[in-house]
Amino acid sequence: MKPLLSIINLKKIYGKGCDDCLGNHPTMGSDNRCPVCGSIVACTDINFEVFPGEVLGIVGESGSGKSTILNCINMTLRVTTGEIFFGNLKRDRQNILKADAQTRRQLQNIHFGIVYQNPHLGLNFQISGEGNVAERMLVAGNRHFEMIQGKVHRLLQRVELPVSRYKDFPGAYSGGMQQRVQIAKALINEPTLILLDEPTGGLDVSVQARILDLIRSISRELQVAMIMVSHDMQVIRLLCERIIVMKHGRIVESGLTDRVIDDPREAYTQTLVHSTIQ
Amino acid sequence: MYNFALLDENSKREIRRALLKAIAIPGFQVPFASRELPIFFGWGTGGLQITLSVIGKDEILKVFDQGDDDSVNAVNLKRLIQLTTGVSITTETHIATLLQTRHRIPEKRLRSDQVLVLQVPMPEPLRKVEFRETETVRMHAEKDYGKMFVKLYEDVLHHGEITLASDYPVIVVDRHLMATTPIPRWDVPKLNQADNLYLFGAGREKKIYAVPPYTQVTPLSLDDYAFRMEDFKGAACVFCGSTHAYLNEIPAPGGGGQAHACSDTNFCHGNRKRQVIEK
Repeated sequence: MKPLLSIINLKKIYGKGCDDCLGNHPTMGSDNRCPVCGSIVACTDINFEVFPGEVLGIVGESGSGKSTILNCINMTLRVTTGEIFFGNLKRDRQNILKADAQTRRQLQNIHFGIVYQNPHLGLNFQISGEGNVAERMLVAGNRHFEMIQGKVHRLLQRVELPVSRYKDFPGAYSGGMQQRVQIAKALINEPTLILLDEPTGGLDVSVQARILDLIRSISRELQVAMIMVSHDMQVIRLLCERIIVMKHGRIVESGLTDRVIDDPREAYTQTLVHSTIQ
Repeated sequence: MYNFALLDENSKREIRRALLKAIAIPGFQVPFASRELPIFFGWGTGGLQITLSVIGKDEILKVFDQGDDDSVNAVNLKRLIQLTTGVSITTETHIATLLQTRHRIPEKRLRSDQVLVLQVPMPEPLRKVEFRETETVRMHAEKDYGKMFVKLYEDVLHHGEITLASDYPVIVVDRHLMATTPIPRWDVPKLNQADNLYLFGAGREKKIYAVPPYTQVTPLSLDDYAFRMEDFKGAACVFCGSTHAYLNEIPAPGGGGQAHACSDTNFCHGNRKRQVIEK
């Protein structure tokens, strides 16, 4: 099978950068800083592939560069160097970082869906929950009110948002409902890749379980590829087939989820796996 | 005492250059260096600067405000232009060669030898949904008007119809989203495939844009919620009896309740004059 997404030598640096940290394999210090010039190395030497319908997990502690990778793929962050190829058909496979503005917007609006931990990043609080989901269809060029509303309602029903709350503004929703609307928003245009940035962070355990159930059944039904960022090993174990472990902006270990969790090779992964509260 | 048409020649030339660019890219907002004038921003300085830049010695000028030739602002603008150019002034729409307006387009269809200048308070149609100028510039460049359609969707969702009353946004030649200035929806179809040239000037916001003759201008709408003009439910003007004009609500002459009257006073006078002659 051909990969849907290939990340090649992705690097994101905040600060001036120097020959060392802008080079191929920068020296790793005791944190994200370049030991030579002091620039922040948000992520470097990132190489991985995502296949159609696959759920890939990215784990690591805060500041390890997980969200940076997602935002680079979603093109909301400018990468310093590197290439991101998207599309599993030869004719439309392209380096999305080199694409023109219109193509990039089309990718963002139609082919990608993103769910943020903070609903304020993913939702517009000035318009209704229903309008938030409809926005993606309108941006994609749909102009028929009844048709859009029908599709939006079917999806909101699928993510179990109470019918009586469709017209309410997101500020009036509970945290779990906001995440449901974000998921509906990410799904409405039937994307091929969904980016999940800690979608259940900050939710209580029972709500978290239902949202995870929802994500799992969606990934099975629709065969959509997902990249799931989390610091919660249990969540990752439940959803992902393959995982990547990150530290200080580098990939330190990757492999099948069961293998990495049951038999972690790197010292850092061992700490991470064993620091889970049982 | 004054240069012809008040502004110095270099200023007029700069504005005319902006106008040429605006006409070449219908609906696109061209920035220009809005000049100081002896009236405040917000009182028609954009329209006035365009009028002063394009006016010739043989021009016949009409200035009207809310359809009325005799409102204070229209009269003062007329005086200023006449004082500095010496052109003749008229209230008759069909005689005028250059017309300046706020809030209305005349009821009578304009001819190809006439130019209508509109005073614009807020030239950016996307400002309703996006407050950052850098973003609106990008949205225009990429024809990214999804957010505007979200506004229409929300309108229909909460009110069952599109609630934009005046300044109804239009798409010009299937490319640029354009503000129509606070003209009523009644006047919006007059912009489409017109015989005359429309020039729009926003003095405070320092923008000029244009709709050339015979240009396709489409009001923004959803497929199943079409653009609608104001509906006066069969009401007629109390003075001329017209049912095919944009009507204002006024206190009924002689007291007691409400009545309707034409907003375009010259159109109303013309109708009444014709009725007297016919009798």
